[in-house]
Amino acid sequence: MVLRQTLAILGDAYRELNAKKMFWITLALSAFVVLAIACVGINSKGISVLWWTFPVDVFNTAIVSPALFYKLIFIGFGFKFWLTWAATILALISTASLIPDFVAGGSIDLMLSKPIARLRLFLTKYATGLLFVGLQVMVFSVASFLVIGIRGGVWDWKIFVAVPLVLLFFSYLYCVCVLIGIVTRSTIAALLLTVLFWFVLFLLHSGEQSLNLFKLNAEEQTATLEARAEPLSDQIAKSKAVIAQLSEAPTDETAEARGRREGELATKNASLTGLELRQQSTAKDLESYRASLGRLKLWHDVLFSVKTALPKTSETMELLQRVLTSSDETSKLEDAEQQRREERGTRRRDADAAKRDADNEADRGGPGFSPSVVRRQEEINRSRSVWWILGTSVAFEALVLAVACTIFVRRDF
Amino acid sequence: MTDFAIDLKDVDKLYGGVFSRRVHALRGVDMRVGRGEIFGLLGPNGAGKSTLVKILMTVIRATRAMGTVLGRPVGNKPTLARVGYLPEHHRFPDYLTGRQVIEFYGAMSGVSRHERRKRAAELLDFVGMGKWADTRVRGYSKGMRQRVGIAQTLVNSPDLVIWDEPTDGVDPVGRRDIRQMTVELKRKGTTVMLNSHLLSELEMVCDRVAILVQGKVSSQGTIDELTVHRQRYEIEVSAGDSHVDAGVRKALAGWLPDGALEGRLEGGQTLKANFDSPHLPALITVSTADAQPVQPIIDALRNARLTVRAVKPIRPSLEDLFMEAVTDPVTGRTLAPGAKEGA
Repeated sequence: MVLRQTLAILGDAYRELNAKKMFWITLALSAFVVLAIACVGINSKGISVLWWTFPVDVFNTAIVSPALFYKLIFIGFGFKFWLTWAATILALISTASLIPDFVAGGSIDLMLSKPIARLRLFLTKYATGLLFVGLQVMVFSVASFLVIGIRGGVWDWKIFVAVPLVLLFFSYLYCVCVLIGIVTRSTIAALLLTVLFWFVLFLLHSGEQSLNLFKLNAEEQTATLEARAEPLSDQIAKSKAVIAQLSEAPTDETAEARGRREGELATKNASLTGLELRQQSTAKDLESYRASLGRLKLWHDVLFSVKTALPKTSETMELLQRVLTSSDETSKLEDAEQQRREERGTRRRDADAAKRDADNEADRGGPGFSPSVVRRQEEINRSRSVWWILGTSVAFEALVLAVACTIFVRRDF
Repeated sequence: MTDFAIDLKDVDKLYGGVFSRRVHALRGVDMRVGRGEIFGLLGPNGAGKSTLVKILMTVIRATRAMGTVLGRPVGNKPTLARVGYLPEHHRFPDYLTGRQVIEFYGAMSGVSRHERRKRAAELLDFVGMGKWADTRVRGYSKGMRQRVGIAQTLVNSPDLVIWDEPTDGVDPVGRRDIRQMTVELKRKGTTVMLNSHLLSELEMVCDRVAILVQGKVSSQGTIDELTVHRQRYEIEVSAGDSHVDAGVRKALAGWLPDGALEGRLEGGQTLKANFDSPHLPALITVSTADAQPVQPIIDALRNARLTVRAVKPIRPSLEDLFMEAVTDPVTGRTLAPGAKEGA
């Protein structure tokens, strides 16, 4: 009987989705996205779109293999943009009404009067909400798999990791949508509050990433200043020793030699003053960086702790990139890009020295962040364990579901 | 196996709590529905009828409930596989056709695929919806939805069906059809519990009824049992040109001594005489459901050369019973609708 009921609920969910226009609109848009990806290609000169080729320095087959190119397009456009933003919003719009409709008077009475435990009924209904995304992402992944295989020449089964990842990502939001739907019985409230929750997660992630970048930058600056401070002290000590030596006039000093010594002494004194000023400035900067580093660490730790307790939507989606592309594959591309930046920087240095610094700064990937800082940030992100990303997110989902289940099981309808 | 399809003892439901108004919807309901009978649950708005039915169907959890449904404790989920339920204001998914609705709820009741397909076709014909079987529910009228609703309650060949306002929004032809379906179900041995405001409909089909008032069963039994003490015979008598009151007093002097208007027969039945005017027919009432005690009175009246114009056995209607149940015996006013507040 359990299997019969479960199949009936799943069948009904499929009919419901089938009846919703949004399901078919989303599927049509998915097909359009896959077709768009299929129209883009890469050759020895650059990127091609249908019959036209656009020369690009970095993107050509000498640097990027067609397989990697299509994988990057799939991850960057198909996965990160379409599946995790546009399709997710459409999926939320489609599924937000499932639970409020389900618990509406007249409908829920019929379901609860059947020989099925409330908990099982609720969890099965929850699973049907994920069916929408499951079907969409499965169709999209199959189509993308074919495009990457045919156009890129590589049949990479790992692309189907997108299915569980997108399902997990959507389930983080959907559990909140379900809880709000159960509590308020309102589709609009469920949808709007879920989108708000998603926005809060986005802000939290952006804040944590930005603070981490600033923290890493402060650490790097502190290390640079510390490295600069030590030679300065040595130089000052040496200068003082030289000045002390020069200050002592030999007994048989001629007037000419005295004049020379005093001139040299004045120069050394001036140099010492400069060094001392630099030391003071460095010490001041160091103190400032150390203080801000402490504050940044504190705030980053706070945000990181909050983030640990909440679903990690961005990191979950980043996992696909970890699975599909290796560091070796992307390093070639990164090196080529770095080289391109340097070449561009050199050309501009010759052309416009005043503009050079600003350009280089922009090229380093942000306002004042060096490539090494950005690289360290990426390394840290990649080093975050799958358990931390998925485990804590699923734990949050389980907690929210437990609350929703308790409300559903105990409520009088 | 118990003889009762439903046997409830001390069912209590208190809504609300710390943050909301407390409403005592059911206050110790004791009720029995025999197997194979058609049972009517009556009561004014807010009496707790739907709450009671929802407790039986596990839609609402009772604060306290003892008793059984089909021999199993109230709230036992597997028992519901043998029950068919039509809620009031039911709402079927409007993207399903009538056939799909029946098949879906059949599957939820554990009916096999083959069986529910067969049953769906039979039941759609049974409720007169065969022609509309493959039309989506969104295109149905209220009456058609009600018919499909009834059909889905029968897909699992239940031992007990509970219909909450089954004739709601149904035209007279549909009501007659539903009445016939009810009788047909009883003939097949199914217990039917009806919850309705249409007393005349219930009176036509119900074997037993219970009247629920302010969360308590005020009376229950067969309609005869409930009305036996209220049944009477009315004898209409005239005396031509003579004064009817004098003639009646004289004829019934043995039972109405000293010109009294009320007396007692040998069997303890009450006898009452009512005179509107000396020249208008008098009305004599004997409080009995049995015709035998009335015969000596008729004889006495005829011997006194009075004309017996009519002898009518009077049985109170369900509506009379209902109105009596919802009337405050002290003030004579109709009780306010709704459940009682507070514990």
